[in-house]
Amino acid sequence: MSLVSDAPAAAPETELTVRSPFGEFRRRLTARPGALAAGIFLLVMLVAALAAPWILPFGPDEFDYKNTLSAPSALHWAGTDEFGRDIFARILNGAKLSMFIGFVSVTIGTVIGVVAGLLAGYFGGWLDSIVMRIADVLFAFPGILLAIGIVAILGAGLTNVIIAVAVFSVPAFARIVRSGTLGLKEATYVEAARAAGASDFVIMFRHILPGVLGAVIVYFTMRIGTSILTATSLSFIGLGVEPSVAEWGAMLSTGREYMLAGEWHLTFFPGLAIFLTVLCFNILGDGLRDALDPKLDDH
Amino acid sequence: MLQYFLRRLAALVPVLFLISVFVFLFIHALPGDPARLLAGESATQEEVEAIRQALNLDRPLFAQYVDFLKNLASGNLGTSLRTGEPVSTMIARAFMPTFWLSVCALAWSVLFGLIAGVVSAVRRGSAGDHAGMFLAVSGISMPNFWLGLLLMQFFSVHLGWLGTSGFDEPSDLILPSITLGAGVAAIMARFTRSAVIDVAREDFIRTARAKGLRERVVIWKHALRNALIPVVTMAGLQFGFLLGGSIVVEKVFRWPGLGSLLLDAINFRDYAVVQAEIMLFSLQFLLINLAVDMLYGFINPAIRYK
Amino acid sequence: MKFFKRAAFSAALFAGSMLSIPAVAADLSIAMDQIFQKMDPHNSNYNVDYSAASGVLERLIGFDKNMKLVPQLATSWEGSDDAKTFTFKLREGVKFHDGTDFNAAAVKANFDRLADQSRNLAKNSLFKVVDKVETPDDYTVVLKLKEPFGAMINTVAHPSVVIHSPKALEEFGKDVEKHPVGTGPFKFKEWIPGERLVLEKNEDYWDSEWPKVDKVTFYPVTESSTRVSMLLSDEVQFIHILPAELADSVESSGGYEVLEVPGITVWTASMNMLKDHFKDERVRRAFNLAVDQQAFVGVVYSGHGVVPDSPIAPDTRFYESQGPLKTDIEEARRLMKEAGYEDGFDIAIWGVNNSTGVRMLQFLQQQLSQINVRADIVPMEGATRSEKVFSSMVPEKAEFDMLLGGWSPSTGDADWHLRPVYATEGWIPKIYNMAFYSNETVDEAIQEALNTADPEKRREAYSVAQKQIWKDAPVVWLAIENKMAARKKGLSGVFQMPDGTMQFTHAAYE
Repeated sequence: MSLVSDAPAAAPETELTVRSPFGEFRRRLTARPGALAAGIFLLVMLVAALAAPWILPFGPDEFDYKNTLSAPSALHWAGTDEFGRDIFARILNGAKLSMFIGFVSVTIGTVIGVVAGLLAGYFGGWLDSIVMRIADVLFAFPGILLAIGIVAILGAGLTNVIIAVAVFSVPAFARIVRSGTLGLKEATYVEAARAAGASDFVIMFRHILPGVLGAVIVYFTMRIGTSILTATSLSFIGLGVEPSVAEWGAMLSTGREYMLAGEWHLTFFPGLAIFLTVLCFNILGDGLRDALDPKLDDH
Repeated sequence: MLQYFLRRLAALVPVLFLISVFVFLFIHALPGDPARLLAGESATQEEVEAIRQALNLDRPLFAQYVDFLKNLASGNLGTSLRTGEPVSTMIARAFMPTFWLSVCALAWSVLFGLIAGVVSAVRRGSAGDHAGMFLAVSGISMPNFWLGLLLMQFFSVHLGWLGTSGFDEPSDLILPSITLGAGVAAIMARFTRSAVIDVAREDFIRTARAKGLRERVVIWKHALRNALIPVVTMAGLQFGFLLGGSIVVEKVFRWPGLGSLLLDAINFRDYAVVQAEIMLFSLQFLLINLAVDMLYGFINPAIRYK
Repeated sequence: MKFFKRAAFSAALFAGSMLSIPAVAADLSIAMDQIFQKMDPHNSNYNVDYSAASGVLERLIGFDKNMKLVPQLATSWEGSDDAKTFTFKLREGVKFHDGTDFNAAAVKANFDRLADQSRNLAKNSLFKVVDKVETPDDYTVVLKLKEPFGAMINTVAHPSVVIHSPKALEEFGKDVEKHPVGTGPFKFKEWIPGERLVLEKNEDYWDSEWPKVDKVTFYPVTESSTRVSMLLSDEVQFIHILPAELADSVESSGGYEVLEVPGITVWTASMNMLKDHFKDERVRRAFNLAVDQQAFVGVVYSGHGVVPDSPIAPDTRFYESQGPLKTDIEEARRLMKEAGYEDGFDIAIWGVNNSTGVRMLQFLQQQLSQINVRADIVPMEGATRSEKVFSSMVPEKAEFDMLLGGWSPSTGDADWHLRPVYATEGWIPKIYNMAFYSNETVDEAIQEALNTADPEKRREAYSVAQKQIWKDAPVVWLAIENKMAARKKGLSGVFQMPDGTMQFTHAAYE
């Protein structure tokens, strides 16, 4: 009865002749080297960012007033900023934060949007009207303004930036999931489940949700890039995270003052980091979409 | 059809009402004291109180909202706290620069997006496809203001070919519209590509091919025309977003448009201007949405309106 | 591969020399760092408004480059010994742009307007002490005050105390802020808010030698790199303000010159003296010793500033040096230990969210970490700061421990620095005393100096005040930023002032 004794027996070593959906997905994804490379790049960056304190000679906040604004060199790969802090160390440490902002904010936005979209699509009627009207209002309201407002009301800082960026994503997810749900709720297998007496909750989350998940995952991946850019714009307007924190948007934004002074490295490297990261998320998203879309088979 | 249109139009009213409540609460929830902002940081408290009284900012919030609705119903958008000008004048003045910028950005990006999208779709999997899509993805991966500053440094300061900022002559449109359009071009290219791929799988295309029509004719004449419906929709939506004015791009290029107006208004808590501008954006956005939906019906009569 | 090319492109782009095409015109274009609010200085607190309006609307007394008083529409002036009566002799033969004569009645109309509390004008506070304005003859104006006010001459020289045409005041009422009519070398032509402001030559200016340019256009450009780009591409011939970090590149690009004058704005980080740890003088001194002001000037202003050696700047009237500020981490640590804070404490520092403000905050955070003080830095957007610091502030409940701010005495006189920032009556939100500092000796000395117009007596009183404040150290003194501007070579007569305004009335091209 112990847990240990059960485990090995449960894995029969049979050859799969029919590919599981996941296997199929993996085949399709590996057929897209671009997407794979993008995924690997992101992974490597994340690992390097987590390991940064042990592999870099400088901390992100180590200042050195005698060595400010120095150009890239063997010691400082990306040069130093106006406080003499090592830009490479800040970028690598900033990767954690930028990815964290992107990931957490989009996750929050996704969860709220998916639940709202499921409920609206499944139950229809007045609930649908209300959810979609709210989505309309949020859509019609200029997004960056909403973010400015939220940060202004709640105060600047990491949490509030995440909330502001998350609100951005809600209506889009709600719409995607709602339209998917509308289609699936008439599907035969859903009807069958209903006939078998499954509760609304079970139908929504066990039967319909997996059906719309593909579209959600694709959009999720792309949305992370957008969220990182939105956080950058907030920093540009001066409403980002605490300025001493190594965040790419803040680095790019404060560095722009030095751009005309010929100190190009202050903006170039954070800009490049943002560009590459967002690019990789987008390429990965494209790859995932193709891999998840049965219509698109190149072979 | 007309009935459907009217019903949709009527449905806008509650949405607009919701937005008006939302906007009003939203801007009054923002911390900030317009009287103090107008007076400046070095003003004494007496100076600030003098301004507050002069601007009638001491009235209760609900009364201010009722005033706002009353004025709105009679088409009066109020006066700016900051400049004392009628808000309608300010918006009218800022509208055209944003309109031209949006048109230019949309024009080049749709043109580029269409060509790149179709070419990529036709040569799917080729190096050209990858390069085109890579470029497109790059377009949405660049922080807007960084791209704008780079362009300005290079073409205006370094080469001296173009003006840096402001809107005094048509050539001033070039850099900001490139900056603003980069994202739209990328979206259009990707969207067109997938629309054309979808259409290319349809039976009528196979038929056309089977009839022996040349590939070029099949793609550009048959496939593209049918792919155009979703593409037009997308372009319409993008135009709606563009017309809202980009706060970031307009700030970088000192563009005298709606985005700059909005940012200044927010910074000075110029309530009347913020309210009016957001109401305008929302109306614009909802109308374009409606127009796009109606357009569907014209392009594809198979779509039924319930 | 692509990225390397991009890198090379960027490097070439910024390292490359910046060639320029010379502009030939008798027109002058100027880019300012803020948007214009009102063309009525009586009702504005903004330096950009004062600067642009100064071409159209003149004052009785102006300031020269070094903030010394110079005659403008008044030719001479004097104050009575009891500091209650001030007499001004006016320039004769001057006409307003609308043809009205400039005389004592015109000055009285303006002074009465300023002193009229019911109009709610922003600068009414400057004239609150005025009891009545008399005009014994057509070219003499006498100010009678309710109580002695020794700083009155400098108050009349304040950039907001301009003379509008009395006819325009009557005709436009409050709307005069959109239709300024004065006696200046330029006439108001057009103003598109947020976009540009245009002035044109006044052919009948009283000083026949001036003006020498036909048209002046001001552009408000808040993005500082855009402002510099406009200068370097010859779209404007003068920019105010030049960000310090770009001074070297403007200088080295040839064809442009950097103008730098010592400022009178003293930047401080006020220590909230209602909080227990800052009640201890040792802690306040330790904070001053821990912060390296020289490095501050280097990092925040790229070296374009000076370290203060008195609560007020050297160019402010009645300044007296109190000896240099020292940096000594060991001594600071010792003082903290003595005060019982060897392990430091947590504080919140509030500042502003522009790029310079953000640099200041980060710098302080770094420096204070050396004495184990853990600072949470809060850059605030202007509007939020307006409410949290200046509107809803209740001193006893203030959430900040330190507050960054800079004060510039726009009258150029010690009174309008010491009183707002260090007197008990100046506690925020009333004026600008952000440390909630309160000292009887200081309050008395400031009042004493106001009770006389005798410069020697005033000097003595301000000396006492400065000494006491310097000893008590209610703030960490940070820097006096140099006022920076840049202009095209060959242009003269356009320059910035230590108080943050600028002058352009004597603009001329070689």
